[in-house]
Amino acid sequence: MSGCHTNPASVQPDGLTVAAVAERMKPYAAQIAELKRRYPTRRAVLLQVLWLVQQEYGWVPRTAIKWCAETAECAPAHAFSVVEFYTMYRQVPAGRHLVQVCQTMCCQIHGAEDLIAHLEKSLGIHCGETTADGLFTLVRVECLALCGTGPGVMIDDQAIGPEPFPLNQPGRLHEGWLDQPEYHPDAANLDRWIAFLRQQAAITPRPARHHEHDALGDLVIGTDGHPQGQGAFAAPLLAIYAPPAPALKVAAKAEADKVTITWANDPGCAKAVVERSDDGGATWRELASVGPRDQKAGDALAPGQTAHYRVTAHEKDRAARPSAVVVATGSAPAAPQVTP
Amino acid sequence: MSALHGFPQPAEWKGKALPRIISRLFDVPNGHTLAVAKQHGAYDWFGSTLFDKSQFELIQTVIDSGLRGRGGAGFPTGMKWSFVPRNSGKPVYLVINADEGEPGTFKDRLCMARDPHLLIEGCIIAGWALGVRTCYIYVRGEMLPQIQSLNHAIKEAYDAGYLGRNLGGTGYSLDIFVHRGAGAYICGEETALINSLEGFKGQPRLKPPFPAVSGAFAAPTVVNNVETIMAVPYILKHGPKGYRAWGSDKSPGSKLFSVSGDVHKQGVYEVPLGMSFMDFFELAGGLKGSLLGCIPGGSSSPVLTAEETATATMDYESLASLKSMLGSGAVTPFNTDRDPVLMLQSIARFYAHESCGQCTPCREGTGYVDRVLDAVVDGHGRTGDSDLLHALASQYEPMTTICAFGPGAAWPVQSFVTKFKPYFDAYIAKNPNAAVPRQLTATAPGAFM
Repeated sequence: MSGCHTNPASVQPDGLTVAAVAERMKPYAAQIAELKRRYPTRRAVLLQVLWLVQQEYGWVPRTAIKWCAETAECAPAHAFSVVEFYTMYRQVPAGRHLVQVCQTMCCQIHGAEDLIAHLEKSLGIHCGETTADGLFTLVRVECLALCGTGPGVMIDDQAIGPEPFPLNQPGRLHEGWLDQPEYHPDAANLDRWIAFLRQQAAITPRPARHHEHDALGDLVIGTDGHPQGQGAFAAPLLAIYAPPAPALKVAAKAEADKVTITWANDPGCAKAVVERSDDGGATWRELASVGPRDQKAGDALAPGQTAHYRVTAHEKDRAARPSAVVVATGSAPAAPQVTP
Repeated sequence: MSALHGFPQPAEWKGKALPRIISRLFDVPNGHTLAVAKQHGAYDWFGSTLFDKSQFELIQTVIDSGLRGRGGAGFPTGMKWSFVPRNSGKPVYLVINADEGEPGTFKDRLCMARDPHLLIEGCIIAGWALGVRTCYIYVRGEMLPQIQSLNHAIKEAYDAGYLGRNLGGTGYSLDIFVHRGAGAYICGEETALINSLEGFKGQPRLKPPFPAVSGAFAAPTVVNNVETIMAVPYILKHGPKGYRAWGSDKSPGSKLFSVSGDVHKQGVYEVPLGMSFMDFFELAGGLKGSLLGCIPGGSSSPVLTAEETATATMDYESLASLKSMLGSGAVTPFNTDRDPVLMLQSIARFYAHESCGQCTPCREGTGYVDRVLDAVVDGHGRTGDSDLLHALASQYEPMTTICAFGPGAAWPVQSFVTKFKPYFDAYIAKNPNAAVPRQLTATAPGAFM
């Protein structure tokens, strides 16, 4: 709650009940149901529900905090602490348009203070105040991530700043009004923009719903949700959701009458099963089952005899693809190493 | 002042090609729509290119690529992924950190507006590598247009079968949900972000346990920056070697740099790591006036003097050797017309405002520093105030607070008062009573008196 000096306790509407808030929030039922599907805990919807309240009321009355706490199944005191913590929830009503000016480093070196002084003069208010006609509230804020075209200014949900935004469908926000250079947030252009908003306000009454844009940015409705979310359609998490473990990289080394098979375990491998085939890979029999630490196995092989080996990594409840097959031939001492 | 520059950026600069790994669609009209993105190769890996790869192969690919976190800390991404325990019986969450708030940084804003599908692609690949069922994208509350852009792109991806149930017939399912934050810089810290996602105040948690073991909803969680995840599809398609073709040996790949300050064309640029700062300023239209200093990685990175800037290159190692950091890639050069004292004042005010209030050294210290600086600027400076500021900042240095916010707030104070001491002394000299020691009070320490 930055830049505002009004005591929230002094502006709470008389007689607002939780039931009345619930009644007014009914149009958001589909969004709230979607939100509840999305998280394994109910508390996680709290921030999003507060946004919906702010969209409807333009601020967050204390009674609405109670309703949010009921919706998110947490203590009202917890919901209140969350509202207090985050700067974007307004605890007092704002004017019809909220003008936020960034005052942090990059904007400061580009003249934020001058711009704020100009806006205070042209609106006739100080930062944190609302104009007498209830149209504009001016606040100082910290970094808006509009540093490239400082000083950063936001009017309602629109950033006036960085660039033309390619979304031109109706109902979509623009990433700034810089499609035309005359919209750059310098003093003269902001004055022009404020004059335009005044003109609009004179011909269109203040809408009942405070913000015209969905506070959750056109929330996607109809997803499966989180498997543990309330009313979710999502299947629970199965082992198959983890992709298979990889095939191991295996080498075999034959020496005199014995052969040593070695491999490099991957981190998830709980055991490795070594298999041998004497018919060129048609049938396999298990030779050894080796724990994760020993990454080798031995086998006896008569000189001249050829055998195929492969190793399969096993995790708790699933197996990887078998490794590539290595061939070893029993030979005289100091036979060369055979790799796949 | 003019509109944001950067794109289209030249194909090469100073004889070196400039990468277009993340910024590929930034200057393509309607590049945020699925139809246009697909014409430029989005989702062309969707199928056996991804689904034949196992978890470990993918993680190894990312480790081999040398990709490091682009959000600020620069932790190797593949290593972060490899810490996630498998078969723990708990779901694994992927959380995308789009809570961009470091003063000077505005790259993620552009990424999500211009190419949301690349972020979704990265989420699917990372999701497959980690066995993720549910992915959350935590977007800063002020960025409503970006949330809209993401939601529309996610809807398109659901409709096209890239998200949802049984992707590519493999039995793997993935959902991506966008979560709107509500204005708290500290939520860019990964454990604070997780707390905020769970519906708590955004206050960081003590580590360990690290999020990779117990993060969101007490389950293994990977938190990655938007830009980091957006580099993953390129690594999958071109392999670690293709990615390492860019950048230097120790800092491979490309990075988006947001440049704001005294250059002619402020904006976002994608350049290979290891480019020298001076070359980069030329790419950004050249410096205005004569350089006084440069903040190389967002406001929390220690400031560089003009001489240091002239020798530095834009990679993790060069800046670490200058006792600064690459951070989030927010480059703010400033010229001799700027007043470092006023800059530090606004930085200190920012940190005093944004401290979450959990640890006493940071909560009290940032306010103390802010008040001393206000006094200095208002003409109530005292001899020894720059030493006082340095000493105060060292009270919330690394290892004194739960998260890295404290150090991030301390470094600019320490570096500014050390490197630009004459400017502070000039302010202090304006006070005729400068020699009178600063009175210590318990109620508002540092307030002039």
